[in-house]
Amino acid sequence: MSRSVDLFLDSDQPLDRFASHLAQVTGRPFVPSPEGARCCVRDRGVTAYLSEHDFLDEEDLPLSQFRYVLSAPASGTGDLDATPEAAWLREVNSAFRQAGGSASLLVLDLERPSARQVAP
Amino acid sequence: MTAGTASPTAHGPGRASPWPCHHPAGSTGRYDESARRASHSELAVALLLAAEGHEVKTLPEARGVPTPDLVACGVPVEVKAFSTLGQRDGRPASARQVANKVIDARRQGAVAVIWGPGSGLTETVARAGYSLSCRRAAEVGWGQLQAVRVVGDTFDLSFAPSREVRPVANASARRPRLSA
Repeated sequence: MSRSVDLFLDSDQPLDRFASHLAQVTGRPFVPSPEGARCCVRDRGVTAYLSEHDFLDEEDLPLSQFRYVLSAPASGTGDLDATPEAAWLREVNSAFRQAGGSASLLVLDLERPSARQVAP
Repeated sequence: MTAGTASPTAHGPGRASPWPCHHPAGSTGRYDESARRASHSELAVALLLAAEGHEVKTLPEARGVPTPDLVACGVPVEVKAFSTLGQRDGRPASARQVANKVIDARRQGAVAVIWGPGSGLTETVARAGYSLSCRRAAEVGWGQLQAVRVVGDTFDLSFAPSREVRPVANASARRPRLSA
């Protein structure tokens, strides 16, 4: 899809172990893809993909500080920050931080940070 | 509108082309939205490709696998659109944002179309962004990408990342008029 909401997360764990951790945090299974480069999770109509990322830093998006991205494609043309995908990723973000996770960054369409990030 | 070398054909198979098809200049393709309703930017790109002669269809979402937005003459096409200037508080699209959208499209399509009308994206920034994506791809690879097209309010650029980092002749010397 052409638009996505992306939660950037950092961990020194490999993908499979980090996915297991997020599965515990969210209560949803993270299913590895056949090639093993990403995991897929579904919850309440939202589909998201966890993988390492190769994105460049932007002025207010220090993406290289985070090893992983949990990316949720979003349909429609309305405000991305108001989509179910953004709401779900905010919940994941909150749960991740409450579980002792490190810093994270919620980004809209790889262009700007969400104005409604979960407070650190 | 800045475009590359004008060609008597809109596009066709060749060393730099991802397209297996050949459409004479002036031919018009078709657009089929029956599988999934397209977003505004996807629709704009679909109509652009159809106007160049392609048979364009939306693709249904596949469970558990990221899918391209469109297929045009059998070629998967991923659309990455910029938000409008208003949605980004008046800050125009940057080169790094162009590069990140190209990098993001690597896994989902043979052709990536970066759609920037209304975003403040300039041709200079688009070219710089593509160069940045080339440098990044030198480290991480191009994935499935064979062609990158960046469209703005006044330009339409086509690149062939599988061959080189320089821009190649534009695939289209005639961009259809799209209503806002």
